[in-house]
This record gives sequence, structure tokens and C-alpha cells, in this order.
Amino acid sequence: MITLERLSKRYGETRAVDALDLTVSPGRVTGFLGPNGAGKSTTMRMILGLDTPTEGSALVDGRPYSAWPVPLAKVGALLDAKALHPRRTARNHLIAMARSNGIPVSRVDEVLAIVGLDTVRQKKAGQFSLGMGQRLGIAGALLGDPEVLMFDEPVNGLDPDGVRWVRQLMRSLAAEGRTVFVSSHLMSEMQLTADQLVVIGRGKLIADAPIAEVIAGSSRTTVRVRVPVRADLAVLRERLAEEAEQVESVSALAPPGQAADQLIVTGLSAERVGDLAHELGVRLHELYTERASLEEAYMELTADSVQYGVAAAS
Amino acid sequence: MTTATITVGQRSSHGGLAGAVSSEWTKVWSVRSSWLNIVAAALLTALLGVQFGFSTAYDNTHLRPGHVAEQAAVGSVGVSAMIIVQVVVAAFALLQVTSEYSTGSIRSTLQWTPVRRNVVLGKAVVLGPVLFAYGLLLGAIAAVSGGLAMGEWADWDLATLVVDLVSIAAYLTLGGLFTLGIAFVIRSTAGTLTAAFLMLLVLPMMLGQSSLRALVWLAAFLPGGAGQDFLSGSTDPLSPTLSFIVLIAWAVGGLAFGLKVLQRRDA
Repeated sequence: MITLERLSKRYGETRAVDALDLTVSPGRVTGFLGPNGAGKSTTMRMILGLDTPTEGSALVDGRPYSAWPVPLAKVGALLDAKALHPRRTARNHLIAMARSNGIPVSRVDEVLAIVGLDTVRQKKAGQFSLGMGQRLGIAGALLGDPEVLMFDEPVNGLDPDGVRWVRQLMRSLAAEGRTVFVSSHLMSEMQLTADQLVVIGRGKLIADAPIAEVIAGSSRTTVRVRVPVRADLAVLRERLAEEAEQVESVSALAPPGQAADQLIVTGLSAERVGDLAHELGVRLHELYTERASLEEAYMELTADSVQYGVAAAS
Repeated sequence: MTTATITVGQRSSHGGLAGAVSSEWTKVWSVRSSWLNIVAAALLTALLGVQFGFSTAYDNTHLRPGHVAEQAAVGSVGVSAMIIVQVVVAAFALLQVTSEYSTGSIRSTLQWTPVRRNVVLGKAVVLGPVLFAYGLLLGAIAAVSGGLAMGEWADWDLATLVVDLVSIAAYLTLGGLFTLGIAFVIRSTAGTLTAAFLMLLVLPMMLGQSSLRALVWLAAFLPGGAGQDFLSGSTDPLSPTLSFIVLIAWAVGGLAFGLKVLQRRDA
């Protein structure tokens, strides 16, 4: 478990991370999203003690990362796949890493096999492609068999097969009860991988919620209802407008200029819309939910963080 | 592609300083630049040894008026050669730090060993014996090449040679540890090499030849000056023992300064 308490990092006047309170729980994949420069990498670096917080604390299972006697067995992290000596072989890089934490060298060959680099282990790390470098970084993260895993943009440079493999890896690590904290800018990937979503913008927390909740909370998630009788449409619209955030009449099937036969309802569940129609005795032909994509929900969140902050609290 | 099974039994016992030392040892010997540095220093030392040896032999056969021909201890060739070769040895030490900054691998090192004191200590504990052995090797190469070049003028007295070799090794170790310390402060290879070159060679040499007594004293308190006074057995202005203590102070001070800076700086 990762616990951030009022974690802050200032560079001069710039607040890279601003009083971040957050708990990243075990047993699920937590996606860490935010625009470039939102403070994702700085936050991860502070969790590992690479950067010192200006204020607040970042704890792993109740202690700072540096206080754990075998740190690589507590947190495995891939922050920057290029943070290695390019003229050292992949295997020697991992051996130096293993020895720093008293991990047996046999484990190095195990993780090289897990990430599919066993045939190139004697190759110099600097000659690796971007994707191979990412795999080596993931091997390093797995080396200490850690309880907590952090990955900063892990699928960068991976081929589709590699992307799928990373997704399965994250899911299985979380299924084993580990804490998995992943940053990414690929929304479609996050939608498939993450259970929980943490969104930050300008160093501040914007959202921390299960991914389904974030999508449901988006104004792009709407309920569509088709009403065959025109008079009923007006009646239903009036009733829905009392509870919904927004109700819009459209003519979906008919050409422009034709009278509306559908309502698009924002801020009400399909169940509630159906119940209200039943109460009014309005006959329906279609009733369905159109879910926003994670990307749409995310764009909405980061475009106006304050608005979401209020909505999320309610 | 294998599936992600990462079940591991009872693993890792220790991180900490023991781990850092083990990791640093691996790092030193797993890049080619370390080996190239040793080969380069060995060749340079052999050449310098031959040159000093021939020069001694020439002086003894072409005596200036008032001079008497006498044998020279072969170890003294090592002492003379070290004035130059020490810069190459300093480069060996500083590269252990500056190459990590230039490649970005320092961030990995600090992730593996988050207690920064152990990073500095780990490198120092590894480099101490390595530099000492390196010094013995170079001193021996200089003594043999110089002794052979001197021919009949070489004094191969073993006891004297051993004292000379151990002194050379001790000096290179302390000079190297000082350089290691300031490498954490300066971080760039060129910058650290320049600083080491100035402190170990240029400044003490210039100041030591001054007619101003204060500057001679200053030279004696610089690491290179203290080293030369210690190796040559000079008693002016400081005794060899005091010069050795000055050297230890620079090595410890340099490492402490490096640690202080490393602990304060974001990686």
C-alpha cells in the first residue's frame, strides 16, 4: 500500500505536486493519469525517495521506501528505462541490481525469461530497442518479487503483443494481491488495465475513483429514450427535466426538420428514466445507456477539475 | 512469451551496505572502461619507468662537476612516475561516479540503495582495496621497467622496494578516494578530472616552487603536495607522517563533502 499525505514538491514558485492525499491499495491496478507536467513522475520519484518532498510524506506500508531493509523486495519500479549504463550487458545490469539487495543471481535469469529477454541477456543494454529497454526495466521491477509495483508509462515503445503482455502482467500482479500503480497517457489501455483511477492536474488531485464510476460520472454518459407518441414525448421531457441535469430532444432517425422522437438525458440512470415513464404511463420503444469512453471522461475531468471535484464529493 | 508467474521462495537477506558493496564491485568490473583504464595506466607507467631509468643511467655516466655516481632505489622510479600516472588512477576512481551521472544510471543506483550514505560508503569500500592493489601493480611495473633501464645503477633492495610500493599504493588510494568524493559534488567527468588535476598535480607543483614561504606551506596542505612530501620522505615543511595525516584528512573530507551534497540533492 502506498500512502501519500499532503505530499508537496515546489521548484521555486512552481508547485509540481501540491498537497496530494492519496492511498493506493493492494489487489488492484491503479491507473495514474494527468496531462504532461501534472506531477506524475515527480510523485513516483518522491515515493522512491529520489526526490525529497518539500512538505508531507510518501510512505510504503507505513514506512518511507528508504527505511525498508530490502527495498527492492518492497517496491519494484520502472520509472526510466534509460537509467542504466549503456555499455553494461543486460544480465550484468540486473546482477548489480540483485546484489545491491542480496537477491540471488538465479533470480536474474528467472526475470529475464519472464520478460522474454533470455536470448539477448549478454547484449549491451545500450543496443536495446525502446521496447526491449522497457522489458529490461520491467524485469528489474520484478527482480525483488515486490509487494508494490510502480510503472511510469510501461507500454512506451512496445509492439501490440508486448502491450497485451504488459496488460496481462499488471492484471495478474494485482490478482496476486500486490499493489500496482501505473501511469500512462494511453486511455484505451488504462480502460482495459486499471480498476481504480487517480487523476491529477497541476499537482493536485482531481479524481480518485473506480474506473466505472469515473465513466458513469461523465456528462458524456447519457440515457437515450425513444418515444413513439409525440404528445408523450413532451410530457416525459417535462418530468425528466425536474430530476436530470439536462434533457434534449432529437430526431435520431428522421431527417433534419422532422419532429423529435428521442430524448437524450444526462445525469439520470436508465432505470430511473424507465420508472418515471412507467409512472406517467408513457410507452417506450427504446431505452439504453450510452457510456462515455474513458478518454472522453478524462478530457472532461482535466479540462475543468473544480467542477468534477464538487461532483465527485456529492 | 511466458506468463507472469513471479512466485519466489524465501529470498533476499540483506540490502544495506553489504549489498551496496557487492553491487559496486560488480559494476566496476562489468564495464570495459575500467579495464581500458588499467591497461592505459600500466603502459604509461612502463614508458615513464623506462624513461626515468635511462635518465638516471645517463646522469650517472655523464656526471656534472661535483656530482657522484650512485645507485638509485628502483622504487623511486615508481614515486617519480606516480606524479603523472596518478591522474589516470584518479580518472578510474571518478568514473565510478561521473559515468553514473552521464548515463543517468545514478537514479537506478539510488533506487536500489536508497540510503545514500551506503552509496558513497559502498563505492569507497570497493575502491579502497582496488586502488591499493592498483597502486602496488603500477609501482611494481615502474620499478621493474625503471630498474631494467637503469641497469647497473639499479638498487633492488627488497625492503626499500616494499616500503616504496606500499607508500605509492597508500597515496593512490587516498588520492583516489578524495577524487571519488568530489566526483559526487561535481558530477561531470571533465569537471571532476580538471579539479583532480589541479588539486593533485598542478597547484601543489606551482605553489611548492614558490619563493614565498606561505605558498610552500599551502602546497604542503594540498592533497598532491602532501602526497609528494609523503612519498619523497620530505621533512620540509611537514614530516612524512604529518603529510600522510593531511592526505587522510583530504580523503575523508572529500567523501564527507560528497555524501553531504548527495544527501541534499534530488536525483
